[in-house]
Amino acid sequence: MQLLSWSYAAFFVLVFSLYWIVPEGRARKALLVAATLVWFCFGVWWHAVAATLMGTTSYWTARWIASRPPERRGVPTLVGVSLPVCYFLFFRHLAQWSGFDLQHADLLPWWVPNPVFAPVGLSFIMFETIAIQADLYFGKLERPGSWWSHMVFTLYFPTRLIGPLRRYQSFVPQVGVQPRPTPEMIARGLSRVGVGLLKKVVIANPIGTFALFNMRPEMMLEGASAVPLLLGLYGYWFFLYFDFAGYSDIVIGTSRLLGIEVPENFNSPFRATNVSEYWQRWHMSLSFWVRDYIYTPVAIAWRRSSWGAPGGAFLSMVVLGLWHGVELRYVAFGVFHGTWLAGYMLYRDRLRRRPGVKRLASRPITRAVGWATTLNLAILSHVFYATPSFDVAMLWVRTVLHALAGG
Amino acid sequence: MSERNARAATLAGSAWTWSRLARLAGLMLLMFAVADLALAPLERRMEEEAWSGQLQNAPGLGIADATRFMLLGTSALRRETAVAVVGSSVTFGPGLAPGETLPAQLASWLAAAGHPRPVFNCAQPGGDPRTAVPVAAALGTHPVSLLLVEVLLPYYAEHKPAPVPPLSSDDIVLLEAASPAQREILARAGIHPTASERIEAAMGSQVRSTWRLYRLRGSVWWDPAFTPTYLIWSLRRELATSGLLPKRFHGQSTNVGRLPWREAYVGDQRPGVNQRFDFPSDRLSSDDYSELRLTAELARSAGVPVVFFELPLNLAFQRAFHLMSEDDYAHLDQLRSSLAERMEREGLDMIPAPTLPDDGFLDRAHLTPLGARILAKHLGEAVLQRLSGQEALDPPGQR
Repeated sequence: MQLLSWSYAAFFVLVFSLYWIVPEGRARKALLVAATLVWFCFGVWWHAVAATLMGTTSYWTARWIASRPPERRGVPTLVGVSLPVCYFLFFRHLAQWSGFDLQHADLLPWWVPNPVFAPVGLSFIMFETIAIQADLYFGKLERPGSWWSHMVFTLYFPTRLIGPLRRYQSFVPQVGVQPRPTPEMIARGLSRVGVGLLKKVVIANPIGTFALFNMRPEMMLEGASAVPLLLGLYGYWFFLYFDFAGYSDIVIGTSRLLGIEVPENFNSPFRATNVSEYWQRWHMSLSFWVRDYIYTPVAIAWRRSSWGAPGGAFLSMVVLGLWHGVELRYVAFGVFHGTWLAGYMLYRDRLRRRPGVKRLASRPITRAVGWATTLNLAILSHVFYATPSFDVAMLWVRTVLHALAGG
Repeated sequence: MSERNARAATLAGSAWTWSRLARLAGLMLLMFAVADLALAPLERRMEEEAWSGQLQNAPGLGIADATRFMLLGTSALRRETAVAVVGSSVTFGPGLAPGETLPAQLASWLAAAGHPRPVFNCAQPGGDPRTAVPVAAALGTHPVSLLLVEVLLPYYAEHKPAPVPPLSSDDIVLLEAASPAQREILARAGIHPTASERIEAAMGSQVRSTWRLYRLRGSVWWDPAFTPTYLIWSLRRELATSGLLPKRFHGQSTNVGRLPWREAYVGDQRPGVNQRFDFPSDRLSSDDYSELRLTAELARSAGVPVVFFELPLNLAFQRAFHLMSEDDYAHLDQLRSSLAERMEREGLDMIPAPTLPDDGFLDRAHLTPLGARILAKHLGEAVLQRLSGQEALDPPGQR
């Protein structure tokens, strides 16, 4: 069931009505869990089973970690973090490993588990359950709540398709505690959904039609002009932003209708004046996850080396790239941003401390140059997303360079 | 806090009440109703264009819904005299004016020949052998007088299998219109929308029938001739002609415009490798051929005659730029005869492609207005001849 569909709208209206009818507390958590399982079954029924399994396993490993004294939590945490990764790899590559013929997926009866499609929101479940285990290990979370609390956090259907990634500590205390909806809650929720629809349907879709048309390999011919290709890529970035931000707004707004605040995903990324700020404004819930659970532990582990922090940033960006898929183009995206971010951190920590450089960096013209450079490089790096493969991305680069050079 | 600020804060705190929310909802409904009424003339114009073959589907890049569903929404009397044409971008006619596409010119030719018939352009950019299946399925409850299906030979050469793309919401609406007998045929072929897809399609149809803006949205985003891109290319040429841009911007390399290929690809401008026709084998692809047979089976089950037509390929273009290999040419000839032989054996009717002049093509297969006119005449003559003129073109109910 897609987020932007009539069946989802009807389903949400039903869940919304029931949510405010049933008593506060566990009953509402149970309702949201049940609703999510029904929502999974609308797509592929066995995904509900897979998600329940992932949630329950994560609950037991979280309890195992919490039952140990802090100094003896290493092994259970390792198990707790490894299991979601194993589930992710297993389900993501199930079709490949089972040797299933993709051509004949349609011929399977409905009750046979179809391995072609991985469970919806698989990577989100992985990231969020890893965060619980890591927070217990680092002492950011005292102990896991009930099975219902754990399951409502793991499964919560509005965030399963496109996020944003949530934290257990801030999410669970909000579920089922509001006695009744208030007009302000409804107004804030509906207005956010409206803004999201506007971004997605009115802005993103038309830009996307134009951008995707211009980014087809057919446009990258020898002797082609750079203008449509550049317009295509710049259009693609804005399409991606409005599309993703629009969906995020819809999720945030629908959650507000249930009295639950979920994290923001975007904060005007086009206003960033450097790459570090860019990642604090673009897909924030993912970049903050990467910061807290990859960058920070790596930077702490390598703290004796002056390359620790930049190395951690580089590694984090490569992982962030790989999250989108194990493909060369995503690796290239991660390496590009990792190098850029590590380079910026080295500049910030070493060069910018010098009085002359610091003075220069604070000037408006320098900030304007930083803004233009950040925005343009961020957009250009999306050539790896806007094209179907690394080879086509390179073809785009060659064609544009050739055209700009007057060839 | 000053008294004024405190009063403002109190007012802001009490700004949202249930009655204010209800008033706002009422106002929004009113605005939607007014917007819907204002779109009525546009819809009337679109319906007229649809039946003269001039209305093209919205760009089929998976974002905007197409307009094929309009096949279901008009009067039975008019639809049952119509010819529906299904195919790829060659039939769709990107870059051509609405009256210059193949379906529009076929409508004009039939009218000029004394057999005026509505012609519906059901083609889609990126359309493949499977594109015709949902349209043929919809004929079960919404028959037309004739279904014309494009055959682009390179699709039918045996190649590496690829995953079947999911059905679009537009496809599902058409599949849901299938008759019970057709549903059995579709189920045997493994085409069965899931329960959630069926619910979504049913709800979408309901909304579509009551909300005009939703019904027309595919066509009001961009006009079907990809104007933004076309506009940029035209502007660029004009600016180059006036000397505001360097001369090299005058030409075009992707030929989104309408120049015959020999005029479009000049100087160092060459087509890319994707303009090459690829015939990895001389054997017929059984999966793709089965789509063609399925289309015919569905149309026959609906009592609608179906005629396939082979699209002409621009082999001069392939030779001029050394795109196809000698093996490809040999495979093409073999494939053409294998396909014709198999179709004849299975009783499927196909009109062979005519020979088009050089300036009939924009590129490897897309047609110029002249090319579309010649092909439309060729199709019109063959259709009238094959179906014994008037009788075969009568609505199914009158046969």
